Amino acid sequence: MTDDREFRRATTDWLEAGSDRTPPHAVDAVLLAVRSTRQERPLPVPWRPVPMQNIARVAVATAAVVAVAFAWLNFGPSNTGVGSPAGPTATVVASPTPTPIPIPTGSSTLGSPLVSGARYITTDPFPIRMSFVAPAGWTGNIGGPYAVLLSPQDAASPLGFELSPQPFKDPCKWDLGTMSPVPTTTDAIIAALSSQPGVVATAPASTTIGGRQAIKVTLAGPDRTDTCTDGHFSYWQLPLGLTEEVGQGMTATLYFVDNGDQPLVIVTDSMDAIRTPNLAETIQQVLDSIQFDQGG
Amino acid sequence: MDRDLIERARAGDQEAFADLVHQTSDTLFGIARRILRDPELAEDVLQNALVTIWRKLPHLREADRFEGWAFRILVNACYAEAPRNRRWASTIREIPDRADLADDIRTIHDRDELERAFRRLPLDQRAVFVLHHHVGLPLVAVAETLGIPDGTARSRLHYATRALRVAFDEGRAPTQLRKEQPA
Repeated sequence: MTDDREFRRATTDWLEAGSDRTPPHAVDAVLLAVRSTRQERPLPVPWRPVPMQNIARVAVATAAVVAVAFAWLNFGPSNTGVGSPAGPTATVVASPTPTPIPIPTGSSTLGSPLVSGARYITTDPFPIRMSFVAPAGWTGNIGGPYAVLLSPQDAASPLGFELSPQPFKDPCKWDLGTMSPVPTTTDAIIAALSSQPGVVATAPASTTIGGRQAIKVTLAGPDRTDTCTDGHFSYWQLPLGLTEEVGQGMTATLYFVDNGDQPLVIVTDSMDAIRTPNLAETIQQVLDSIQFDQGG
Repeated sequence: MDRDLIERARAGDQEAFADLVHQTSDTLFGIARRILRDPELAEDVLQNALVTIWRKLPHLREADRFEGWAFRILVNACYAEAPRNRRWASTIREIPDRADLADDIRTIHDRDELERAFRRLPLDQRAVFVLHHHVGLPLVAVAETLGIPDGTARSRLHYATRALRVAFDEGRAPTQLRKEQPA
């Protein structure tokens, strides 16, 4: 056994080794992100429950017991033994949808496997709570405060939930940077995309996603991308650096979902349609299954 | 911490928040790096945590509690990020060519043992250990920061320390390095 002083010294040496200086590019990315990120404002007046008198507590408890007993007598299991016919079809259902599973977070675009048919919900750091039913063989990943990425395993992500997009000035020469000021409303973002050189955008069409109003626009990429910077035709980037692109001869369909001041954008693309059979149908099933949490 | 700066950032002043980021980012990065033992991962976590801090800042009721509140957001970001990134960041060290070589080798050996043992600990134990020993928070403050009972913080620190001590002792036991006396 070594002595305590020796252990403390070694532990301190080990724990304090290395530099704590934040890489400047990390701070720059955060400050850029903050420019297009709204702060959450707390609700003005918290609701306070009225203190309940003892007699009222007893009354409520009694009513609850009576309700449970009534439900048991009417819809509970029959006591006639195993194999007896089922009673009346239960109309009391705990919840119309299964409890959603939080989807994992990650620092890369590679996701974690999702259970087919299970309902998943987005969580922190992504600020919008929305759920969807996972297709078979897909992965999911909360990439940070601005993106949730879903994809078939080992495929490029064909479905993303994104916030605060910053359109590039020129998708083919995206290294020239993003537009300034950054458009923040649905109309302004669509106008910005339509004005990008080389982008062909369809007319905006109204639709609904998860019960919310949405605008659908499809972008077509150029015939050739090999002359573009690094061979990519990128139409926007998100504040922490994730970029979206349209492949050569491919399309990307964007749904701008009403979310207050700035829209949630659901990005779908056809880049892996060749490798992934029925991709369009699967994406549509995911879109149809989307539900928004009341607070989200 | 500058109270005025926090108030202004809370009211939505981006310049004030930028100053706040410059004042706090090294501390937050240091904590994340120590908990996660991976600078690149710590960078991702720091970015997510800082954006979350900006977003949720209006919910902070008392500016004086900013630091602990920010620590909690950071630690939660570590918890969220780490499970998907179980990689071992190997490091290559240069062994110095000096007379006190035995001491240096022993130091490197000790650090390796501690590093290995620390990486085996659950994240919640690592967080308590780092906030207590690196940041210097008393255990009561660690518990408050993480939103856990005092006793839980104490037991997590105890288990973490014991695991490191066992690894340290075992590392020293079989090949006790001794400085040879000159002939």
